[in-house]
Amino acid sequence: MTPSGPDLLRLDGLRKYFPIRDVWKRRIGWLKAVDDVSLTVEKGEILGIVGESGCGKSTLGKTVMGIHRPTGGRIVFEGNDITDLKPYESRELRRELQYTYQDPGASLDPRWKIGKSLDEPLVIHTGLGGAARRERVSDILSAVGLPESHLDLYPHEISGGQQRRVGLARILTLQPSLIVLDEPTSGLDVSVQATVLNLFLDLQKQFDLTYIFISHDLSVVRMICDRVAVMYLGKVVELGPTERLFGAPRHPYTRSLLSAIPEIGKQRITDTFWLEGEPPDPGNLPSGCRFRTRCPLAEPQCAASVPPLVEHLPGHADACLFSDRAVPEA
Amino acid sequence: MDDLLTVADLEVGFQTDRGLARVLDRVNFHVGRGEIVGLVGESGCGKTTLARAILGVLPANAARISSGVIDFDGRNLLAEDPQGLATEVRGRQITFVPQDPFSSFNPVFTIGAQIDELMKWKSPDSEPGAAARFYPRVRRRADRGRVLELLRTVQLPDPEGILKKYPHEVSGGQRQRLMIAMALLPEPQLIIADEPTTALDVTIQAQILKLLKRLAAERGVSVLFTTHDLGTAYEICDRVTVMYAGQEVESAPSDDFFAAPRHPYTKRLLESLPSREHGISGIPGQIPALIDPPSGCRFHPRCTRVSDRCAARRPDVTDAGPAHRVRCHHPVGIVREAAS
Repeated sequence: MTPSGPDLLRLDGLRKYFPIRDVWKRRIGWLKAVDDVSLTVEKGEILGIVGESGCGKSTLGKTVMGIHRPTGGRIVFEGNDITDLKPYESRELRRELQYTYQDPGASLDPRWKIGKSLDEPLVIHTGLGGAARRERVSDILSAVGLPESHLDLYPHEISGGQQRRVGLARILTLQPSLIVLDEPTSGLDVSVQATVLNLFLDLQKQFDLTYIFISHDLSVVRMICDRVAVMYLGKVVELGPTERLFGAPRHPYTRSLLSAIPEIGKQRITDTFWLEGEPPDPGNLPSGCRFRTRCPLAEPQCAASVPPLVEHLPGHADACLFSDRAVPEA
Repeated sequence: MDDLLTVADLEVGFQTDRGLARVLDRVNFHVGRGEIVGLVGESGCGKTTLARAILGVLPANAARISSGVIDFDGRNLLAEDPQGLATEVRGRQITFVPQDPFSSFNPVFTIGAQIDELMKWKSPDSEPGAAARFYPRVRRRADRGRVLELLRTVQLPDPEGILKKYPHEVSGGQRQRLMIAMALLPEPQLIIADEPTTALDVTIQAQILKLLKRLAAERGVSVLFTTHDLGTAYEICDRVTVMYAGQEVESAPSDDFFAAPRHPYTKRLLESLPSREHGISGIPGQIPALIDPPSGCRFHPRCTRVSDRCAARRPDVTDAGPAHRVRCHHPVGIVREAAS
């Protein structure tokens, strides 16, 4: 990598395995949701993590946050190892590192007014008095573009786009430096999605934020991320600058993913799409490269060992032995 | 006239505690034979209500159909006896592919048992309306052959094995393939697919769209495809109709629609798709409440081309090219009326 700023967050061989148990609660295997993921997040950048459902992108975000305890590997935040913090130690950290859930409507207490939901994190994390807290809340509320009258409304009284704004405001009151956004635009209509995305970008500039942007929507990721990591079944298969990754994807999975997005005015994907089959069962993974069962480039070597993430171009790495080859025409 | 389905001036409201929500406002809409029509709009625009009105499954206690005609293959679905429609039309000539393949199977029966149940009542060999208490062995055998053949057509691996499985044992993509197969089994004339790929990943979505497009063409079935995603509409639709807050605003053949949208709402909607040309731009304002909707054209409070006429009267249908119909007083890209 060519760091433009200091690394805010570094993951070293991070693993999160979930046990698979039979009816007698005996462990019969491991579900490797995140398997040996190493990457860095630089200060001030937006790192996109994309992949299909079940690829482990949300588990990765939650493990970084400390919601899941990692099975192995290191998480280093601002130079400090935060992998195995005790609960009271991690409380301090929560101010710096924040996570937004997929569905803000479900993460706001339906019986609390918006104002109370926004106030709560300040009560927990700061020693501010009532007046100072109210001032902070109203500052943040105007930053996310909501009128002050919304403080007296209940979550069900506002729209989905506004609920996302509240979810974001709730996090920003603590002035964090890294925010994990987990599918922040899923379930929104395109016209609302656009305004929410613009808000993310504005707030990033205003508060000097770093985002980890987890999404399955590639066109959104392309618009707002600086770098993108593509995950498939718990592994990062390709990592690179957005423009290069979308312009010249190397890993065959990335290529198939990109060729599956409908683009208006271009050739129809229903004529060109070539990938067959569905992802294998994550509890019973194929040996070697996990994509080889669907990969048009697969060779016998692919089954022998897991291909490492290798930097073929500066800053652009992929985990494929044959990523220089073209995909045969379907 | 070779339209299979014509909806004319359909007005549907829902009774709520706060009054009547006017969900569909004089909607005009048609589907030709063998045509794939996309019904596009944001959530709450009434596309699912329209699809349900055609199927005849609107909740009878709340829905009020105050006027309009739904003409399907020469019969007015709103005037006929609901019992007769249930046996002769619904599930037989008009079938349905749901949005969520996860909640559309009964989890306690095998997939095979559920498909048999469908074929018992709706098999093309069976007499509509005949008591289906008995399922003659001859027909059962013929139907089983037909089912297996169709499961192979929708590219499901090991069809015999899948029939013995329970719904939770197959993946989301496979479940949606099963749903498409079940929609095709009664050999319908029209399939209503309500956001069939929304719950799926992009690579699976591409496979399902490809399948739906191919099967519709091979079998000459019309498809009404509702979606909020303009990209998927571009993929498979021959014609696209856009709805906004219960009014249809524009309808055009796919190519013309995406190349030269005429209605300001359609244009803004296309521009709000993330792309490098337009950057990220949304539509300011919010979708109106349907209890007390704006008068005239319901888009006028958010429209940049608004004039007094827009609030006073709902625009009539005007032609904006071959088979391109738009409902706007000030359509985009057409000779502008001077300062009106």
